[in-house]
Amino acid sequence: MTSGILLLVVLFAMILLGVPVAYAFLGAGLVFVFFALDVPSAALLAQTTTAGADSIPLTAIPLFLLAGSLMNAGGITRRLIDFASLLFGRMPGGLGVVNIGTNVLFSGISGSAAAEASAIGKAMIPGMTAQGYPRSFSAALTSTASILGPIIPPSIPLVVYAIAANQKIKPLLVAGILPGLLLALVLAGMVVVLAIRRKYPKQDRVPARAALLAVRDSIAALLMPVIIIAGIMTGWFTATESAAVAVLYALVVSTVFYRELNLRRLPAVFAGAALNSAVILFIVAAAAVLGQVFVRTGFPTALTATLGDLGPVAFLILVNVILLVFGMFLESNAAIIIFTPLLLPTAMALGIDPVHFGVVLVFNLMVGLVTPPIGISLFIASSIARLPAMTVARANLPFLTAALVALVVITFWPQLSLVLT
Amino acid sequence: MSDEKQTPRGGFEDDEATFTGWVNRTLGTFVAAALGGITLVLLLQVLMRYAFRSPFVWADEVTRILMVWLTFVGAALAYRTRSHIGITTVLDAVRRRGGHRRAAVMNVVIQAVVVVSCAALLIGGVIVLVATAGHLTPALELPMAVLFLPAPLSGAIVLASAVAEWFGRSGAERSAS
Amino acid sequence: GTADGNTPTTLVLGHAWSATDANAVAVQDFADEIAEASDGSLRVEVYPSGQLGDDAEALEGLGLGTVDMWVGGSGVYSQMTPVGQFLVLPYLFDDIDEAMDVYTGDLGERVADRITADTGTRVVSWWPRGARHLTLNERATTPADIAGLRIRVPENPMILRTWAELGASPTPMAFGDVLTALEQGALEGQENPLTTIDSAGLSVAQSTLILTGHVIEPTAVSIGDDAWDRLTGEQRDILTTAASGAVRTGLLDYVRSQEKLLVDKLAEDGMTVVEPDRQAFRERTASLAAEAGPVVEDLYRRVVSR
Ligand code: NA
Ligand code: NA
Repeated sequence: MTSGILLLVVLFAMILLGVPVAYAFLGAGLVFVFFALDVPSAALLAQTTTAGADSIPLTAIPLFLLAGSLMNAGGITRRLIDFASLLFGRMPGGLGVVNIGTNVLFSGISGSAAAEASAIGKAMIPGMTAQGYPRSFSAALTSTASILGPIIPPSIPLVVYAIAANQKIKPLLVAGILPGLLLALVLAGMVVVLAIRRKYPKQDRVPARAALLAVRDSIAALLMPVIIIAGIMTGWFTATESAAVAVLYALVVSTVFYRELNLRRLPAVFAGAALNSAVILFIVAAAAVLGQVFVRTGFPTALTATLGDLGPVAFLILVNVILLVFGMFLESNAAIIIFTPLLLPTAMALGIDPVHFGVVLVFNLMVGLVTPPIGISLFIASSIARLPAMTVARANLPFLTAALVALVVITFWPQLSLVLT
Repeated sequence: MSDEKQTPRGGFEDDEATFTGWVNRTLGTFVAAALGGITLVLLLQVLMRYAFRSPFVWADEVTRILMVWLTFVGAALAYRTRSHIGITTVLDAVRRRGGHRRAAVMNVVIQAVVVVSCAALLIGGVIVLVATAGHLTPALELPMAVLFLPAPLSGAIVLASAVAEWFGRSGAERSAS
Repeated sequence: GTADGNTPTTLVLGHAWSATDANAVAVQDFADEIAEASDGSLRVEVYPSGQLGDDAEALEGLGLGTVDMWVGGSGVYSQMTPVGQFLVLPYLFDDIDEAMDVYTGDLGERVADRITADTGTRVVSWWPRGARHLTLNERATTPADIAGLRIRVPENPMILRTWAELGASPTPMAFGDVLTALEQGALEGQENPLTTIDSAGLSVAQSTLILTGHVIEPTAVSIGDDAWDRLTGEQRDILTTAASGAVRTGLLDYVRSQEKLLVDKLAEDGMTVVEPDRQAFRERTASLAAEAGPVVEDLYRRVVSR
């Protein structure tokens, strides 16, 4: 227990000092393996980071990042935003609502918040900035809205939970639909309120003829999510392959239809997307070390052993607090693998449905993706916006609050998760 | 290491015609090819599965191997281009208040954590390579080294870069004084 | 920890089953029995759910000394030693009792010795696991019926070759993606033991259970050389006795009873249960042992001619 807390203190200190997050994971993990565990520390580090990167579901991150870059370089993004502006531009916070709507649409394609934040951040943050929204606001909204990706099916973390909990996968995926839509509504409400109070710009009315032209011009761009969702629904390709198809489609549309992407620029676009991906993937790989070390300190076991005596309400509140705290530090898949076996038996003994519990657990850990010190979605959005993560984190307070309100509703209204399953 | 550090720039392809620039462009070409490879394999897999009803048994394995190379070689490039994500709020505040000596000490500690981690990746990676010598990957039955080489390689590149940077900087300081 | 009689020796054990799985329960019972038999001087600390890495990773960990013990499907040994392929040879045994007779006898010891010589790990016991069966959305009784079907297989060279030899299109895929891929039609089928077919809820995506029973893969209870060297002779006895005692017998009873119960349950869930022409499947795959090299072929002959 003490060593677990000590591990977190060391990690936290390194991150505050300014050690790059991935190396802080490795460094803190290494210190602990070396001093607290009786195993070869360097070998553990090398093997575990490799295993952390060696993953098929993770391929969605570089592929959607690449698709996002291609969409930007090839003029697809601009046309999507033009079209969305026609629909929502006259509303207060119109482009913010568009951002959320796009996230809902994309969450039907992607199963991870990191992939969602990459693709939509690349598409929306420059567009919102161009239309006068503060960059910090755009980045904050993008990061919080990105957690719709793993809540609305398909979802990588819910699949990880299903496996860790020995539960059927399909009910868990379906259970995420309504909670995801609830989050989208709450976020949209917050955008509208903020836009009115802060007088964010509305757009000029577009003349009918120009609007028609814009619609015609954006058809190829709008078909992108349609093709991908249809492809998944009809089973043409798996969730992972859909990311590769998104890349291909973006490539064809931007070179053949819009002709805005010069093929000679292509290697640079690939290299840029590859570098940005590696930054995120290396954090995920390094987090695997931390997850291993954390488990071996026995801290999670000691913590949850004390929760069994509570009633269901107190238990759920405490679980939420614990997961929110650990979600701030741990990589979410690692956290799911660590906490599911520890918490689920108690939850089931208290009469909590394992499907509902999975949605609560995953939603909770996804909130951790947008909070400092370690939040992948926060980092992606802030790096796209070229802002310090803490600046975006401050701008994110209203959206974080909205997400927490949704979490409370989801926690204490099990039917919202269970009614469709 | 200011705000710039928060920002994966991806601008290394424009680097000047120095050795550093050449190394960065080479690493950049490598990770771009890995990402292109992942895309291509997955697209081929869709095609084979539907058009020819005969998926490649090696597709998953090749994709995973490329992911590991992309991650580790890309991480080394990210170190060289200062693209890694970190929280620099405290460091920036110390600098703003004129604590240059303190900021320098913090930088040494940061650098030390990176160097020790990378040394561990290098040494541990070699241990893993030796221990898994003769082991084969499941689908293609390739030597397991295709999976375990990138981690020590990444550690080695970062260590070499850190040393080169350190000598470069002290050289520049000498010639400036 | 040292074995001076005061400080207890601790072995870190990792496996990939979730804590409520019958195999996981058996592992925990095994750990409890060791603690009791050694009066607490030998402790096995169990980490379920792949917390210490998936099967391949944990098994590598035994060689590296980062993990002390691993329990899991022994086919994973294929990546370390040719003898691993023997453990997943198709149609070696007719049923689980026959398989356990062989693995608890001389041949099990011979295979274990070979693993000790090749891998830096040793198998202290072979545990039973149910036969793998095929699920599809259509009837199939002979290999001709499954020609060209996309069937998900684990990443194991022998299982891949088995399905290729049968004329199907074997597709390695992470198990977590299987249900979605089946529902989307990206796959036509998959193969697994009945317990997995049931717990993963595959009956929602597959209409037909074909009792191919094509492979009975024993579970390996393994310890790394480093960990083994740390144990006293007495502790080694306690460990091996517990590994091959009541826990294993109990697991065998459980697997045997489940084999019947789960067929009924899956039928109740709406699956059509088909008894295929096993002999036809057996004949199509008979050459695989010889193609896997002399070590595997020699073991295969010993089983066939016993
Ligand atoms: Na999703
Ligand atoms: Na966080």
